[in-house]
Amino acid sequence: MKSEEFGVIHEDEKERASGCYVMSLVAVMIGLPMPIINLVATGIFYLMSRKGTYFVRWNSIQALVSQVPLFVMNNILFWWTIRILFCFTELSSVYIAYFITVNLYNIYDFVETVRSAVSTRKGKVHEWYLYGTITDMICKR
Amino acid sequence: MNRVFRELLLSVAVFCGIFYATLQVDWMRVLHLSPTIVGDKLSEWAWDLMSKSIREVEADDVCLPIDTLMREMCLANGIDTASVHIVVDRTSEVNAFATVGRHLVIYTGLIRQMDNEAQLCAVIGHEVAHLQLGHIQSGIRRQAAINVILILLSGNGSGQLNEIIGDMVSNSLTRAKENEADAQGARYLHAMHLDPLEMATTLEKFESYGIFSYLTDHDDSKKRADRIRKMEFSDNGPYRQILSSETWERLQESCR
Ligand SMILES: [Zn+2]
Repeated sequence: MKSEEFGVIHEDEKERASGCYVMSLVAVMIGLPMPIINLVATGIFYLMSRKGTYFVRWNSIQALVSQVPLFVMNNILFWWTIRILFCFTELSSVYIAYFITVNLYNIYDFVETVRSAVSTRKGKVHEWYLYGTITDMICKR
Repeated sequence: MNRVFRELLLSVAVFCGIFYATLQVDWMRVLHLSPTIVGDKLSEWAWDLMSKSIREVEADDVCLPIDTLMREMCLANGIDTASVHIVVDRTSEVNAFATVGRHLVIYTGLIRQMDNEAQLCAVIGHEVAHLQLGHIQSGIRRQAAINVILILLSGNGSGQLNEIIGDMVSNSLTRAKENEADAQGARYLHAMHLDPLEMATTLEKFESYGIFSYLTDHDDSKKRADRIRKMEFSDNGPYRQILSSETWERLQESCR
Protein backbone atom coordinates (compact mmCIF):
# COMPACT_ATOMS: atom_id res chain seq x y z
CA MET A 1 0.00 0.00 0.00
CA LYS A 2 1.54 3.24 1.20
CA SER A 3 5.15 2.07 1.53
CA GLU A 4 5.85 1.96 -2.22
CA GLU A 5 5.53 5.73 -2.48
CA PHE A 6 8.61 6.17 -0.36
CA GLY A 7 10.94 4.29 -2.68
CA VAL A 8 14.10 2.75 -1.30
CA ILE A 9 14.54 3.46 2.38
CA HIS A 10 17.93 3.43 4.04
CA GLU A 11 18.63 1.73 7.30
CA ASP A 12 19.37 4.99 9.17
CA GLU A 13 16.11 6.47 7.88
CA LYS A 14 14.20 3.56 9.37
CA GLU A 15 15.96 4.14 12.62
CA ARG A 16 15.21 7.85 12.70
CA ALA A 17 11.56 7.44 11.72
CA SER A 18 11.11 4.74 14.33
CA GLY A 19 12.84 7.01 16.81
CA CYS A 20 10.05 9.57 16.45
CA TYR A 21 7.51 7.07 17.71
CA VAL A 22 9.73 5.77 20.47
CA MET A 23 10.30 9.37 21.47
CA SER A 24 6.59 10.05 21.63
CA LEU A 25 6.09 6.87 23.67
CA VAL A 26 8.72 7.89 26.17
CA ALA A 27 7.22 11.35 26.25
CA VAL A 28 3.77 9.91 26.97
CA MET A 29 5.13 8.00 29.93
CA ILE A 30 7.10 10.90 31.37
CA GLY A 31 4.44 13.35 30.35
CA LEU A 32 1.40 11.61 31.81
CA PRO A 33 1.18 13.95 34.78
CA MET A 34 2.16 16.96 32.68
CA PRO A 35 0.86 16.48 29.13
CA ILE A 36 2.66 19.54 27.76
CA ILE A 37 6.00 17.67 28.01
CA ASN A 38 4.56 15.19 25.57
CA LEU A 39 3.80 17.67 22.87
CA VAL A 40 7.01 19.62 23.35
CA ALA A 41 9.15 16.48 23.12
CA THR A 42 7.50 15.30 19.92
CA GLY A 43 7.65 18.84 18.56
CA ILE A 44 11.40 19.02 19.20
CA PHE A 45 11.87 15.68 17.52
CA TYR A 46 9.90 16.89 14.53
CA LEU A 47 12.09 19.99 14.24
CA MET A 48 15.16 17.79 14.38
CA SER A 49 13.86 15.53 11.61
CA ARG A 50 12.58 18.34 9.42
CA LYS A 51 15.57 18.19 7.12
CA GLY A 52 15.33 14.41 6.80
CA THR A 53 14.04 12.42 3.84
CA TYR A 54 10.37 12.19 2.94
CA PHE A 55 10.06 8.93 4.89
CA VAL A 56 11.51 10.43 8.06
CA ARG A 57 9.51 13.64 7.75
CA TRP A 58 6.25 11.83 7.04
CA ASN A 59 6.59 9.65 10.12
CA SER A 60 7.69 12.43 12.43
CA ILE A 61 4.69 14.49 11.32
CA GLN A 62 2.33 11.59 11.93
CA ALA A 63 3.86 11.17 15.40
CA LEU A 64 3.36 14.88 16.06
CA VAL A 65 -0.18 15.06 14.68
CA SER A 66 -1.27 12.08 16.75
CA GLN A 67 -0.02 13.86 19.87
CA VAL A 68 -2.22 16.92 19.45
CA PRO A 69 -5.64 15.47 20.39
CA LEU A 70 -3.95 13.40 23.07
CA PHE A 71 -2.42 16.58 24.45
CA VAL A 72 -5.77 18.35 24.56
CA MET A 73 -7.59 15.44 26.21
CA ASN A 74 -4.86 14.67 28.74
CA ASN A 75 -4.58 18.33 29.58
CA ILE A 76 -8.27 18.61 30.36
CA LEU A 77 -8.00 15.46 32.46
CA PHE A 78 -4.93 16.81 34.24
CA TRP A 79 -6.47 20.13 35.23
CA TRP A 80 -9.76 18.51 36.12
CA THR A 81 -7.85 16.16 38.44
CA ILE A 82 -5.97 19.08 39.99
CA ARG A 83 -9.24 20.91 40.57
CA ILE A 84 -10.66 17.87 42.36
CA LEU A 85 -7.50 17.38 44.41
CA PHE A 86 -7.61 20.96 45.60
CA CYS A 87 -11.34 20.84 46.27
CA PHE A 88 -12.32 23.43 43.67
CA THR A 89 -14.81 20.92 42.37
CA GLU A 90 -16.21 17.59 43.47
CA LEU A 91 -15.59 14.10 42.21
CA SER A 92 -18.39 13.05 39.87
CA SER A 93 -19.49 10.25 37.57
CA VAL A 94 -18.84 12.56 34.62
CA TYR A 95 -15.20 12.86 35.67
CA ILE A 96 -14.86 9.09 35.98
CA ALA A 97 -16.52 8.59 32.59
CA TYR A 98 -14.13 11.09 31.03
CA PHE A 99 -11.20 9.46 32.83
CA ILE A 100 -12.12 6.07 31.36
CA THR A 101 -12.67 7.44 27.86
CA VAL A 102 -9.40 9.35 27.80
CA ASN A 103 -7.55 6.33 29.14
CA LEU A 104 -9.03 4.14 26.42
CA TYR A 105 -7.86 6.71 23.91
CA ASN A 106 -4.40 6.67 25.50
CA ILE A 107 -4.28 2.90 25.14
CA TYR A 108 -5.33 3.13 21.49
CA ASP A 109 -2.66 5.75 20.91
CA PHE A 110 -0.09 3.60 22.68
CA VAL A 111 -0.88 0.53 20.56
CA GLU A 112 -0.77 2.52 17.34
CA THR A 113 2.50 4.16 18.31
CA VAL A 114 4.12 0.80 19.04
CA ARG A 115 2.85 -0.58 15.75
CA SER A 116 4.27 2.45 13.92
CA ALA A 117 7.60 2.18 15.68
CA VAL A 118 7.87 -1.49 14.74
CA SER A 119 6.81 -1.12 11.11
CA THR A 120 9.00 1.91 10.40
CA ARG A 121 11.91 -0.08 11.78
CA LYS A 122 11.10 -2.62 9.06
CA GLY A 123 10.93 0.15 6.49
CA LYS A 124 7.15 0.03 6.23
CA VAL A 125 4.66 2.74 6.95
CA HIS A 126 1.85 2.22 9.37
CA GLU A 127 -0.78 4.75 8.44
CA TRP A 128 -3.18 5.69 11.24
CA TYR A 129 -6.80 6.35 10.64
CA LEU A 130 -7.32 10.12 10.23
CA TYR A 131 -3.79 11.10 11.32
CA GLY A 132 -2.25 9.39 8.28
CA THR A 133 -4.65 11.29 6.05
CA ILE A 134 -3.85 14.60 7.73
CA THR A 135 -0.13 13.83 7.47
CA ASP A 136 -0.53 13.19 3.73
CA MET A 137 -2.10 16.61 3.47
CA ILE A 138 0.61 18.42 5.44
CA CYS A 139 3.70 16.55 4.37
CA LYS A 140 4.84 17.41 0.87
CA ARG A 141 7.45 15.39 -0.89
CA MET B 1 -9.76 17.29 2.12
CA ASN B 2 -13.07 15.49 1.97
CA ARG B 3 -11.48 12.37 3.28
CA VAL B 4 -9.94 14.18 6.21
CA PHE B 5 -13.31 15.67 7.04
CA ARG B 6 -15.06 12.31 6.82
CA GLU B 7 -12.47 10.61 8.98
CA LEU B 8 -12.46 13.44 11.47
CA LEU B 9 -16.22 13.25 11.80
CA LEU B 10 -16.12 9.51 12.37
CA SER B 11 -13.31 9.81 14.93
CA VAL B 12 -15.12 12.48 16.87
CA ALA B 13 -18.31 10.41 16.70
CA VAL B 14 -16.52 7.33 18.04
CA PHE B 15 -14.92 9.34 20.84
CA CYS B 16 -18.20 10.97 21.82
CA GLY B 17 -19.95 7.62 21.53
CA ILE B 18 -17.57 5.99 23.98
CA PHE B 19 -17.78 8.99 26.30
CA TYR B 20 -21.58 8.88 26.08
CA ALA B 21 -21.60 5.16 26.82
CA THR B 22 -19.38 5.57 29.90
CA LEU B 23 -21.60 8.43 31.04
CA GLN B 24 -24.55 6.04 31.28
CA VAL B 25 -23.04 4.38 34.34
CA ASP B 26 -23.47 5.98 37.74
CA TRP B 27 -19.84 5.43 38.64
CA MET B 28 -20.10 7.13 42.00
CA ARG B 29 -22.69 4.59 43.11
CA VAL B 30 -20.99 1.63 41.47
CA LEU B 31 -17.66 2.47 43.11
CA HIS B 32 -19.26 3.60 46.39
CA LEU B 33 -17.69 7.04 46.24
CA SER B 34 -18.98 10.25 47.73
CA PRO B 35 -18.53 13.53 45.83
CA THR B 36 -16.55 15.05 48.68
CA ILE B 37 -14.31 12.03 49.21
CA VAL B 38 -11.13 13.83 48.16
CA GLY B 39 -11.73 16.77 50.48
CA ASP B 40 -12.72 14.44 53.29
CA LYS B 41 -9.62 12.31 52.90
CA LEU B 42 -7.39 15.37 52.72
CA SER B 43 -9.04 16.85 55.79
CA GLU B 44 -8.53 13.60 57.65
CA TRP B 45 -4.94 13.59 56.54
CA ALA B 46 -4.38 17.20 57.54
CA TRP B 47 -5.94 16.44 60.91
CA ASP B 48 -3.72 13.37 61.38
CA LEU B 49 -0.63 15.46 60.73
CA MET B 50 -1.91 18.26 62.89
CA SER B 51 -2.99 16.12 65.82
CA LYS B 52 0.54 14.80 66.23
CA SER B 53 1.51 18.07 67.85
CA ILE B 54 -1.52 18.08 70.13
CA ARG B 55 -0.98 16.91 73.69
CA GLU B 56 -4.44 15.51 74.10
CA VAL B 57 -5.80 15.41 77.63
CA GLU B 58 -7.46 12.07 78.28
CA ALA B 59 -8.20 12.36 82.00
CA ASP B 60 -11.83 11.68 82.88
CA ASP B 61 -11.94 14.78 85.04
CA VAL B 62 -11.52 16.81 81.89
CA CYS B 63 -13.12 14.71 79.17
CA LEU B 64 -16.33 13.73 80.94
CA PRO B 65 -17.53 17.24 81.84
CA ILE B 66 -16.61 18.54 78.39
CA ASP B 67 -18.45 15.67 76.76
CA THR B 68 -21.45 16.32 78.98
CA LEU B 69 -21.59 19.99 77.98
CA MET B 70 -21.08 19.12 74.36
CA ARG B 71 -23.86 16.53 74.45
CA GLU B 72 -26.24 18.93 76.14
CA MET B 73 -25.56 21.55 73.52
CA CYS B 74 -26.00 19.15 70.64
CA LEU B 75 -29.19 17.66 72.04
CA ALA B 76 -30.76 21.06 72.70
CA ASN B 77 -29.91 22.28 69.21
CA GLY B 78 -30.47 19.21 67.07
CA ILE B 79 -26.82 18.72 66.20
CA ASP B 80 -25.45 15.24 65.68
CA THR B 81 -23.17 14.76 68.69
CA ALA B 82 -21.05 12.16 66.93
CA SER B 83 -20.28 14.55 64.08
CA VAL B 84 -18.26 16.96 66.21
CA HIS B 85 -14.95 15.78 67.63
CA ILE B 86 -13.71 17.76 70.56
CA VAL B 87 -10.12 17.58 71.77
CA VAL B 88 -8.56 19.22 74.82
CA ASP B 89 -4.95 20.20 74.28
CA ARG B 90 -2.67 20.65 77.28
CA THR B 91 -0.97 23.97 76.79
CA SER B 92 -0.81 27.22 78.70
CA GLU B 93 -1.96 29.18 75.66
CA VAL B 94 -5.45 30.61 75.83
CA ASN B 95 -7.26 29.55 72.69
CA ALA B 96 -9.89 27.37 71.07
CA PHE B 97 -10.63 26.78 67.42
CA ALA B 98 -12.63 24.74 64.99
CA THR B 99 -10.72 23.08 62.21
CA VAL B 100 -10.80 20.56 59.36
CA GLY B 101 -12.77 17.36 59.70
CA ARG B 102 -15.21 18.92 62.20
CA HIS B 103 -12.60 18.86 64.94
CA LEU B 104 -12.69 21.34 67.75
CA VAL B 105 -9.60 22.02 69.82
CA ILE B 106 -9.71 23.67 73.24
CA TYR B 107 -6.58 24.56 75.17
CA THR B 108 -6.41 23.83 78.88
CA GLY B 109 -5.08 27.37 79.28
CA LEU B 110 -8.46 28.68 78.21
CA ILE B 111 -10.49 26.39 80.45
CA ARG B 112 -8.38 27.50 83.40
CA GLN B 113 -9.38 31.13 82.83
CA MET B 114 -13.10 30.42 82.70
CA ASP B 115 -15.41 31.63 85.45
CA ASN B 116 -18.16 29.11 84.84
CA GLU B 117 -19.49 26.42 82.54
CA ALA B 118 -21.60 28.91 80.58
CA GLN B 119 -18.44 30.66 79.41
CA LEU B 120 -16.95 27.36 78.35
CA CYS B 121 -20.19 26.62 76.50
CA ALA B 122 -20.03 30.07 74.89
CA VAL B 123 -16.61 29.28 73.44
CA ILE B 124 -17.66 25.80 72.35
CA GLY B 125 -20.91 27.22 70.97
CA HIS B 126 -19.10 29.85 68.93
CA GLU B 127 -16.81 27.23 67.38
CA VAL B 128 -19.58 24.70 66.82
CA ALA B 129 -21.52 27.51 65.12
CA HIS B 130 -18.63 27.96 62.69
CA LEU B 131 -18.87 24.26 61.88
CA GLN B 132 -22.65 24.23 61.63
CA LEU B 133 -22.81 27.37 59.50
CA GLY B 134 -20.35 25.83 57.06
CA HIS B 135 -17.61 28.38 57.71
CA ILE B 136 -14.89 25.72 57.85
CA GLN B 137 -15.80 24.36 54.46
CA SER B 138 -14.13 23.99 51.11
CA GLY B 139 -12.01 27.13 51.47
CA ILE B 140 -10.19 25.73 54.45
CA ARG B 141 -10.01 22.28 52.98
CA ARG B 142 -8.52 23.66 49.80
CA GLN B 143 -5.83 25.47 51.74
CA ALA B 144 -5.33 22.44 53.95
CA ALA B 145 -4.89 20.32 50.83
CA ILE B 146 -2.32 22.70 49.42
CA ASN B 147 -0.47 22.80 52.71
CA VAL B 148 -0.54 19.05 53.22
CA ILE B 149 0.98 18.64 49.78
CA LEU B 150 3.58 21.33 50.44
CA ILE B 151 4.50 19.78 53.77
CA LEU B 152 4.74 16.31 52.27
CA LEU B 153 6.97 17.68 49.53
CA SER B 154 9.21 19.58 51.89
CA GLY B 155 9.12 16.92 54.60
CA ASN B 156 8.46 19.49 57.29
CA GLY B 157 7.15 18.74 60.74
CA SER B 158 3.59 18.69 61.88
CA GLY B 159 3.91 21.48 64.41
CA GLN B 160 4.00 23.99 61.64
CA LEU B 161 0.92 22.56 60.04
CA ASN B 162 -0.93 23.08 63.27
CA GLU B 163 -0.09 26.76 63.20
CA ILE B 164 -0.64 27.17 59.49
CA ILE B 165 -4.08 25.60 59.60
CA GLY B 166 -4.94 27.53 62.73
CA ASP B 167 -3.99 30.78 61.01
CA MET B 168 -5.79 29.85 57.86
CA VAL B 169 -8.98 29.12 59.72
CA SER B 170 -8.94 32.44 61.51
CA ASN B 171 -7.85 34.38 58.45
CA SER B 172 -10.55 32.95 56.27
CA LEU B 173 -13.25 33.88 58.77
CA THR B 174 -14.59 37.29 57.97
CA ARG B 175 -16.00 39.69 60.50
CA ALA B 176 -19.49 38.89 59.24
CA LYS B 177 -18.94 35.19 59.84
CA GLU B 178 -17.64 35.89 63.34
CA ASN B 179 -20.79 37.86 64.10
CA GLU B 180 -22.93 35.05 62.76
CA ALA B 181 -21.06 32.56 64.92
CA ASP B 182 -21.46 34.78 67.99
CA ALA B 183 -25.21 35.04 67.45
CA GLN B 184 -25.65 31.37 66.68
CA GLY B 185 -23.52 30.42 69.70
CA ALA B 186 -25.69 32.63 71.94
CA ARG B 187 -28.77 30.87 70.57
CA TYR B 188 -27.19 27.53 71.41
CA LEU B 189 -26.66 28.70 74.99
CA HIS B 190 -30.24 29.88 75.20
CA ALA B 191 -31.58 26.59 73.86
CA MET B 192 -29.69 24.63 76.50
CA HIS B 193 -31.05 26.89 79.25
CA LEU B 194 -27.86 28.79 79.88
CA ASP B 195 -27.60 32.56 79.97
CA PRO B 196 -27.01 33.68 76.35
CA LEU B 197 -25.49 36.91 77.66
CA GLU B 198 -22.53 34.86 78.85
CA MET B 199 -21.54 34.98 75.20
CA ALA B 200 -21.14 38.75 75.51
CA THR B 201 -19.26 38.43 78.80
CA THR B 202 -16.95 35.84 77.30
CA LEU B 203 -16.27 37.99 74.25
CA GLU B 204 -15.15 40.84 76.49
CA LYS B 205 -13.30 38.69 78.97
CA PHE B 206 -11.12 37.05 76.36
CA GLU B 207 -10.76 39.93 73.96
CA SER B 208 -7.07 40.28 74.64
CA TYR B 209 -6.42 36.67 73.65
CA GLY B 210 -8.18 36.95 70.33
CA ILE B 211 -9.74 33.54 70.69
CA PHE B 212 -12.88 34.36 68.80
CA SER B 213 -11.04 35.53 65.76
CA TYR B 214 -7.49 36.18 64.92
CA LEU B 215 -7.44 39.93 64.99
CA THR B 216 -9.66 41.35 67.65
CA ASP B 217 -9.19 44.72 69.15
CA HIS B 218 -11.01 46.20 72.07
CA ASP B 219 -13.50 48.12 69.95
CA ASP B 220 -14.38 45.08 68.01
CA SER B 221 -15.11 42.87 71.02
CA LYS B 222 -17.17 45.66 72.57
CA LYS B 223 -19.28 45.90 69.44
CA ARG B 224 -19.66 42.18 69.21
CA ALA B 225 -20.69 41.94 72.84
CA ASP B 226 -23.22 44.74 72.36
CA ARG B 227 -24.66 42.97 69.36
CA ILE B 228 -25.32 39.93 71.54
CA ARG B 229 -26.88 42.09 74.26
CA LYS B 230 -29.26 43.57 71.69
CA MET B 231 -30.47 40.16 70.61
CA GLU B 232 -33.90 39.12 71.76
CA PHE B 233 -34.34 35.83 73.51
CA SER B 234 -37.62 34.29 74.55
CA ASP B 235 -37.95 33.64 78.23
CA ASN B 236 -37.11 30.04 78.87
CA GLY B 237 -37.06 29.85 82.57
CA PRO B 238 -34.40 29.96 85.22
CA TYR B 239 -30.94 29.24 83.88
CA ARG B 240 -29.54 26.02 85.11
CA GLN B 241 -26.24 24.57 86.07
CA ILE B 242 -25.27 21.50 84.12
CA LEU B 243 -22.15 20.38 85.95
CA SER B 244 -21.99 20.11 89.71
CA SER B 245 -19.69 22.61 91.43
CA GLU B 246 -17.27 19.82 92.34
CA THR B 247 -17.08 18.58 88.75
CA TRP B 248 -16.36 22.11 87.55
CA GLU B 249 -13.71 22.57 90.23
CA ARG B 250 -12.06 19.31 89.32
CA LEU B 251 -12.13 20.22 85.63
CA GLN B 252 -10.38 23.51 86.35
CA GLU B 253 -7.96 21.84 88.73
CA SER B 254 -7.00 19.30 86.05
CA CYS B 255 -6.33 22.09 83.58
CA ARG B 256 -3.81 23.75 85.79
ZN1 LIG C 1 -14.76 32.54 65.36
